[in-house]
Amino acid sequence: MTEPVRFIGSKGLKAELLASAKADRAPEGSRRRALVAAAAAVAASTKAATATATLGTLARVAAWKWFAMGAVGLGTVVAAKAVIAPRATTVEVSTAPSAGPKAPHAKRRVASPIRPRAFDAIPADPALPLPVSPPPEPAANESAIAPVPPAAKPEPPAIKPPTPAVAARATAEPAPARAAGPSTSGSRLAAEITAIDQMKSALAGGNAADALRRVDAYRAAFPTGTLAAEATALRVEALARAGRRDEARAELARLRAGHPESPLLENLGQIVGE
Amino acid sequence: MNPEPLALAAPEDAIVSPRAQAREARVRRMVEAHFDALWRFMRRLGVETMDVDDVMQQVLEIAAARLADIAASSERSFLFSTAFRVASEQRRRRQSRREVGDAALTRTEDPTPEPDALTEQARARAMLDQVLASMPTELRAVFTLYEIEEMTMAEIAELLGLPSGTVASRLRRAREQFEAHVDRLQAQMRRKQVLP
Repeated sequence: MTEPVRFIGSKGLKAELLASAKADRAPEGSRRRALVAAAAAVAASTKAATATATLGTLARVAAWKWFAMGAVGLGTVVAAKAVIAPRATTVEVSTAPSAGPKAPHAKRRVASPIRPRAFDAIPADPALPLPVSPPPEPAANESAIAPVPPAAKPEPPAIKPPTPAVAARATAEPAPARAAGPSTSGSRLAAEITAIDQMKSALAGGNAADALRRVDAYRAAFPTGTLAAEATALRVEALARAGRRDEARAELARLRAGHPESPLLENLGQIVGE
Repeated sequence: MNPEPLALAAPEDAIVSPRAQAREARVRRMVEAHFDALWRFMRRLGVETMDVDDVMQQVLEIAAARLADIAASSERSFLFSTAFRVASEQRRRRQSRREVGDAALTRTEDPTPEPDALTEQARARAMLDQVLASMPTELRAVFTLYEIEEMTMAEIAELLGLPSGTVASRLRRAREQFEAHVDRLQAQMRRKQVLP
């Protein structure tokens, strides 16, 4: 490949315009916000991956995050609190099915309005109870990840039997209110990430059939999902694990055609036995 | 309802902490190493200043969720290709929303008065974004990585997961469009100066 001489090295308006972009800097605090968000995202995905986590553990993770973020000087304590306080209550809500339903719901009501906008995309853990509890029915999973509008009743506060279905509906409740806001993409993405994590745990647990069902559920819930390519990559792997080599190869071919992003394709050829 | 007290636990108390700590350290390294370039990349892809944090956060969430699958050598590649996807999607959504008409949003972008030199630069940047906005996103991505981040074509191919021939042809087309557009702007500016 012969590289053309860059405009930016020349003189005149073209170089001037490009140089102005080179000097462009993120506003004050932007990097710090990214770091805080990164820490929160790691905590969330670590939690999702910890299949055997108990309420106690989750609470301690939240507390530990709080501690760690202060300790490493990621930002002011206020900033850490802004992220972690809502997350801690979300954790309690998510585990409600196994731990008594009343107080957490009240807490969630309080917590959600003050969630800072920049962190709207933090997973709201709509499906977090699933990895915690015994293997869920696919149907329950779908209702948990789909942004289903709730029944029209305005949050009866104290009559929730601790069933996953109710928990899922309750968690999905803010969706209509956010329908037009920028947070929609964030919470949708959170649900997508959770779904992907569940596919991965199913695969890691040797349950390829379950992983395949979850990919189908994901595709039904997010026809144009941001992580569609990831889901397809996982489907390739699940098909290969299930011994359905030809289908795995066909799926891989589709992935290569539609999403030639190298990171996802890295090991798949080997996995399907090419 | 808490079976255990929610105390400020020491890290060794938390079962997942060593792993979480390692993951967090890795994501933090990734952010530290690539933040500025990623930020500029998103901006030049057309993500507005006020949206960059959100888009960046989505990228980092995806990275965090897929951390175990990202090879150390492809961290940059993963971040940029993910940023490209998320930014493109965000822009599509924004544009479809914008058709409802919220020009005010764009006007609030630079609310603070700036010193002259900076204003000059901000004006140049606005003009650049105007030129870039006329390009398809695919061309724009390759063009900005080559011309602004000064990456090689091979690096861009790896970064965006594209065949090198595709990068070469996109870059060629992007440079042609850029040149033509800027020349047109320059001619307009000259006309205005000559005939006030």
